[in-house]
Amino acid sequence: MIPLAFLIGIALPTVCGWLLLRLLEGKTPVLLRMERWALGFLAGLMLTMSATFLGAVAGLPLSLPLFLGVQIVLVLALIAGCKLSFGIWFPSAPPSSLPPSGRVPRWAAVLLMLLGVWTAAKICVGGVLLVSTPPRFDDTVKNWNLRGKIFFTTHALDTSVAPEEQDILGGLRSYPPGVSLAKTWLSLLAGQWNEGLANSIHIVWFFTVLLLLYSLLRRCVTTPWALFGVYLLTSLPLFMIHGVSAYADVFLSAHVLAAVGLLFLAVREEDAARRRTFLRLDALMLALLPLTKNEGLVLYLPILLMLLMGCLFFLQRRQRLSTRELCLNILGFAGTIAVLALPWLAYKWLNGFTFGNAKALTGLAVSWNPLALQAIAVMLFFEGSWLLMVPLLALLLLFGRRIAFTQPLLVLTFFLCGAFLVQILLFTVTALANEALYQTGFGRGLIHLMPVAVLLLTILAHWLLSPEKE
Amino acid sequence: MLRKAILLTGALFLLLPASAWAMQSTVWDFTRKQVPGDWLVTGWSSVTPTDQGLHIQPDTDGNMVRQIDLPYPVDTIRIIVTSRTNAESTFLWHRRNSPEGELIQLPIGIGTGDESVITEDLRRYPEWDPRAEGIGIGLPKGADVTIIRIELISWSPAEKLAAAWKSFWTFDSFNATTINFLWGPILNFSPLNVGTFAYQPPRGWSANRLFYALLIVAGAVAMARWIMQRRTGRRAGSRALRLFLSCTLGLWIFYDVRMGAEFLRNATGDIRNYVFAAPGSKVLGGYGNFYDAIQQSLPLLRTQDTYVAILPERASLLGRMQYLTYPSLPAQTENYLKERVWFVYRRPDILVQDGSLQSRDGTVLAKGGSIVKRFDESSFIFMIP
Repeated sequence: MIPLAFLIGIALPTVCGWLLLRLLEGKTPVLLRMERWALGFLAGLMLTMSATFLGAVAGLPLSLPLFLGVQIVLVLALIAGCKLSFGIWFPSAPPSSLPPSGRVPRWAAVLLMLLGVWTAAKICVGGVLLVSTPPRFDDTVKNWNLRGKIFFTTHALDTSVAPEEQDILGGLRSYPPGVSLAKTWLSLLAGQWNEGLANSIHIVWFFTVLLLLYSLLRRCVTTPWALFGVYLLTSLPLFMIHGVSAYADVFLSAHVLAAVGLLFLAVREEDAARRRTFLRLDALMLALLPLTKNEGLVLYLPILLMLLMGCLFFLQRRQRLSTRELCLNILGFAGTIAVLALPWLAYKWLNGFTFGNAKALTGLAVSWNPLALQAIAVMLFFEGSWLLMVPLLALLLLFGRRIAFTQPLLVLTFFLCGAFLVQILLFTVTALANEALYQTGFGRGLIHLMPVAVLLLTILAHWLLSPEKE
Repeated sequence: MLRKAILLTGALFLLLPASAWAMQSTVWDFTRKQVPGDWLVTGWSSVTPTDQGLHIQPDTDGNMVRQIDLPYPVDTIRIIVTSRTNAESTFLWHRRNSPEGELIQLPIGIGTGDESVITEDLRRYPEWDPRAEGIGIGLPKGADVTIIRIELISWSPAEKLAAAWKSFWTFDSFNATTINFLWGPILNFSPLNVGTFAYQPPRGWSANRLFYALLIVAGAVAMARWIMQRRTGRRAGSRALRLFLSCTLGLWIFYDVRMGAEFLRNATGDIRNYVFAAPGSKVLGGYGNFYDAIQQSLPLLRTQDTYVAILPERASLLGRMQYLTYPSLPAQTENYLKERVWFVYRRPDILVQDGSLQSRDGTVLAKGGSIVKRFDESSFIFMIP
């Protein structure tokens, strides 16, 4: 029953997301097949869980009929939408122009194979650990799984009336409920709360981010290089630990990669119709960010909105976007964000929940803490969490500045540097400095950026080593 | 060419002086009423050379210091003592060129009992001077200590390298902070250091220093080749960059093997010790048998809306209990009296006597019950029928 619950629980939201993406693509499909499935899982799950959340807010019991009803209605509506839009059932995607892979040297093939086996071994063992041992890390037992378990047991969002009037959730209600609701959904399907099942969804998010990274890389580099990029990401020890733990940071990193990656593809795209499609898809992924984790709302959405405006105006100046299209795009992004994110924000506001993560934004007094900066430097350069990632990326940005700081790669560079600097600022001049000193929050913040960092690093390394460069 | 280079390197290694291979040490033996060297004793009136060693019973805080002039730098000190009291003693040293009489103090604990060995890796203290001009020992009033032997050790470069290599491959274990950061490999040059990760932060250098040094060397070689070839060869820059990035890739993979091995060792250990172990003997990294005890207690705990949890002073365990036993929850303090089920974990100060659950000082917590399940010597479930 549990494997079946897992399969159905993943498949239904994924189909929902797939259909929505297909609908947004319209008559100009742009996504690779694997991209559509990966993004479909990400978007579908968040969308269906958010719709279920709204149903619960409206007073419906948070039970299996609500989850199932929402998903079935959405799937049927999207099928109808696709049929009405295309007049035919899902036209197949036109062949994409991916860089030819050419001949791979024997040594490179052998090396990639060995690294693949090594990585597969780590993921397999980590996956077994994830689904067969009880959760041991703090945020799992105090937030993500706990809330899922409470939703599952009480069939309600308002969990303040626990036995003995105990409020074991404290301030956790201000956290978006998507991740916990996904665990509730799987458990309701299985008819029981099972730790392995509740944790299993995290490995799907891990695979999703790898798949997304591969397909984004594949659009820019050859297959071996794309595989190599995936190896680089999985070789980052802290990222691997998170990939096989019931934490929500890899999940957020997948959403961040999707939002940044689609914007990057839009700016990179020469064809106007395809660019419009990429922007539509990006609007969806951007609007879902506030529903993922608090950082999605307070940290990444503002940076990405700035970046988006910069990109749109850049495209308009280069006459790749008319003024009318510029306005339409701005309205489209604003509308999508309003439709998807505003209900959750209104719910937070009406219930007096805090905005911010770990600490409320309103309570963040400004005071410089030099020790925090020192602790951050140690974390970046003298610990094992990131191997040699940070100095290597800095070097490649220096060597590859010719392309790193010009469009379209500037999208990735700007986002990465912007988000990184904002994080450093938050952890050095606010009360969050303690989290840097105790090495709690800062390392996890970097998890969100690592897929984009690896995307940039791989593209730069490929370009620097390509003979055409000279 | 390569064979010649290997042979030449081997020959050079053989020519290294013996000091490169073996440690050097100076031993001061205080047994058989011997007192090696001239010691300046301050503040003590009772210092007696005996057959067992130098017996000291200070009536005031004081110390004994002597001058040293060793032909090698000291890395480690080893003091062998017996003591009848727990004494907060100090190891003292006088740095070169520091004002006369100025002594640096390093606290060292001496436990009660027969012969105990106190070993200090002095290199990890920035204040330590390997060529110190004087060293000594300080003892507080009331101590009763017999110093048997003092050893001053200098490790050879080969021993230090071997120790660093060993500590590089010493793995940290999964714990509560693993989700936030990983220390990574540590280079500890003291062969005595057996618990690299037993200290927070771990003792030694981050191995990243070594990686950066190697990257700088690779960068320098690549740059030298670029300078030499840029006038003659096309794509000299690309070739230099390729060399540098190849070295980086090699280091990256080596680093990944080290960190991946740590991950696999910990993960397979947890799978073996928790998943495949029989109930009652399951252990999860960093949490001992806590999860196993909870798992075995669930049928009992779930019969109640609330229960009492008496846990070690470690707040994070309470959060885990709340999650694992939900919808049953640990009771609030004021409700203890009406509770029927008590979960006691790793609390040797809580006992059951004559049907009463009580603390070691005799305070009765609950009456009329018995232990219905025991997990280890200090962990059990007490239930009132």
